[in-house]
Amino acid sequence: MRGSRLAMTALALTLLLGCQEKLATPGECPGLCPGDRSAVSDTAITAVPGQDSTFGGYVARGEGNSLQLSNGLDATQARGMARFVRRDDSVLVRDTLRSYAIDSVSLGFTVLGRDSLATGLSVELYRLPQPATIDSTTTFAQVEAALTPGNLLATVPVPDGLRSGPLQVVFKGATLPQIQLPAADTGVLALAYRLVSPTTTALRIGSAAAGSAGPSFVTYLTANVADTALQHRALPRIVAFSSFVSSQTETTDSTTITVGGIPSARALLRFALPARIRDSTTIIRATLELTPLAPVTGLPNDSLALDVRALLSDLGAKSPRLASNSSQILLAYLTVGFADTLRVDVTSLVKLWQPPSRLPMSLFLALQPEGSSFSRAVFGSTRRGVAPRLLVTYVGAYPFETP
Amino acid sequence: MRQLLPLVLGLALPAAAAAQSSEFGTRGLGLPGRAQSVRSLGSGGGFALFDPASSLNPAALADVYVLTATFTGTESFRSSTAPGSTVSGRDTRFPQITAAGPVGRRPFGVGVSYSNYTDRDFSVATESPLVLRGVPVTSFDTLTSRGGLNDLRLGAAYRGSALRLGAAFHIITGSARTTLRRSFSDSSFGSVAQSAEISYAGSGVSAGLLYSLGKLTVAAIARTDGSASVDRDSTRVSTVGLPATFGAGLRYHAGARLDVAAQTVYRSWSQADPSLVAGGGTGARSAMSAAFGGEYVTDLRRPYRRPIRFGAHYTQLPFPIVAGERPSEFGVAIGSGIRFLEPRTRREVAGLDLAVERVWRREGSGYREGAWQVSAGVTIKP
Repeated sequence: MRGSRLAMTALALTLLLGCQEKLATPGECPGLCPGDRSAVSDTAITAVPGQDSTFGGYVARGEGNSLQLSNGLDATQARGMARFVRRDDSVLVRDTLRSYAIDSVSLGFTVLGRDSLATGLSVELYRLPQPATIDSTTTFAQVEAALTPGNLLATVPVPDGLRSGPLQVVFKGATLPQIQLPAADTGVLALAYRLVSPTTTALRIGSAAAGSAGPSFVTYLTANVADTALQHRALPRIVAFSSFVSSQTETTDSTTITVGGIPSARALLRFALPARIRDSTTIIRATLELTPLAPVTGLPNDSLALDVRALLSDLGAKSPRLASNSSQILLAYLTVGFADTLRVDVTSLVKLWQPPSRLPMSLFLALQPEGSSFSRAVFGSTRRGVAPRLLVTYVGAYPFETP
Repeated sequence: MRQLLPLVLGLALPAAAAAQSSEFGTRGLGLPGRAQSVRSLGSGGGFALFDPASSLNPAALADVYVLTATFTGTESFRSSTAPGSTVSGRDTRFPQITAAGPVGRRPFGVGVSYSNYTDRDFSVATESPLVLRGVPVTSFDTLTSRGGLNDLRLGAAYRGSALRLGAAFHIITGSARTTLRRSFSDSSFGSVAQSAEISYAGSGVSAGLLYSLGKLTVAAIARTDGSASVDRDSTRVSTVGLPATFGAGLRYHAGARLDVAAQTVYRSWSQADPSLVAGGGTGARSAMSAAFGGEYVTDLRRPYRRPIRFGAHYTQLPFPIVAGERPSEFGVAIGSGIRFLEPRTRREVAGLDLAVERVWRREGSGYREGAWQVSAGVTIKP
């Protein structure tokens, strides 16, 4: 039986060590290419006429993650405003409401975007009267009327080298009375933010939607309690409302492909990919071409990107966009003043139009950061200018030899 | 040293070279398999019609007296030349598995075997210049096929005094998973991966005889396989004709030490021609093959110990790379083996055979292939 054991050992080694393959044979077509070759083809597909649309009202003023402060950019003035939740005249210490004495107060905001070439910027902080009335109906004229020397709380310089980051001003000692809340305001503070600059420029600061980068109002106090370890406390007040007002109101031309602006606009493009391409080819490259009708406006040197996504379902303006992973969100970065034809590689999205997913043959465009940018991009549509089109390069089905 | 021999042979196998994955398997149904045991391969295939461990002649099952299982592995190293290029390749196959035994004490033998019918394993790499969107781009293509057709044989044989008769039913099945992968030198163009699974199903019957005339034994076979249905991705696309096979062989016991045998087999592969051409292929031609070989016993007291086998074969290949051409294969072989006995009863319980072949294939003046094929076979008699 020793022999059979050795034979089995040899067999096992054969199986383990023998399974290596290198099958390649020299390439020489058509001789060694059963079925020969499949063709690579290009085609240009224009958006379906009349089916490309611009829809407005997605992100309203103040709903984005930043507030616009403008000092003449694009001939527009814009002011930010924030209303904080009420600050009570007592604090809860060990289950007991106790009075307190204010030691200091800090007001802060976070710069999210600026023109890095603009220097000498500062932000003026104004107290807004009748703070409880500050809401989305507040107009530019109402805010502008409140920006008087008497309401000026502080001027915060924006360092020239600061691209983004938090800034704050602290009131204590002699300046503390400036931030005292009048009894008529019932503990509510509302602020207006105005950009001051030697040239026309703008600034984006964080809004309530920006979370920790939003406006801040913190009171540092000494509570009336015997335990000294519990006396010193910070009393932050979150933002109840933030927005900005502008001297101009934007209008969207529905005959163009427009993205961005306030409130933000998005555009829906529909294409009719021929069935022969959709069903039986491999798309190796798809490029969306958009031709601007005017140079892109906005804040120079601020980040800006065109957001292109596929749709889960084509329901018009309320179509749900596909964003289950980052590869399905395509961003094409833009610069202010861009006026050339914009080409976006949308291969990964157009492939989703093919089986088995068969998503609608549509693309939804938006501008990032949405509702927070000074920019608008206006492209030609099938109604005006040069229509959007897709350049699709595809490989036909390989004619596998089938005996 | 005797105890180490099987281990040495087993280790040597992966380092050697072998058979059936080749550029001559890229067309039609692929490179036909030989359905032979290592013992037959080592003698050039000359004994295949007389060998119960080969799957050619069901009548040979009559000579199986104990339950016997064989397993064959083949390693191939080859150098393939096409117009303008030469590459080396290597592959491993397990082309032959058999199990056979007697039916009680009756004069019958039965067996089942699994053989490689045709081999469609290949990979072809090409590159070609293209102009995409007005820019020159190089396309890198790799066409790969894995699979082939297999022959599952269920056979039975009757053993008379001088005559053995056998018949078998064959199930022919298998698939070729074919994949095209294409990439481009410009990475802005995505890669392509397209595939198709082409599956085959057919059946056949065979019959054979062995007739002993003293030192001379005559063998003959006839087989028909009808046609095989061809499905592409589970959709019936065609049927392909499979060949009828006729073969005859002679075995001569030239002395106590030497046996020699020769055989010739004809296969009407041209029956596959119409459907292959209709499917975009280069067609098929009927093929004749011939083989001669011998086995020399080095130790008369222990004839199972390291006999020397030798032989040669020539076969026409049915599926041309270029339509109208006639590919062919010529090979020479040498082999040996050893049997292991149960010490107490001296009954054979296992065996190990080794065959080394040098094979040359060619078609016209453009396509050449040379291969070293090393086959190892394990026989178990539990």
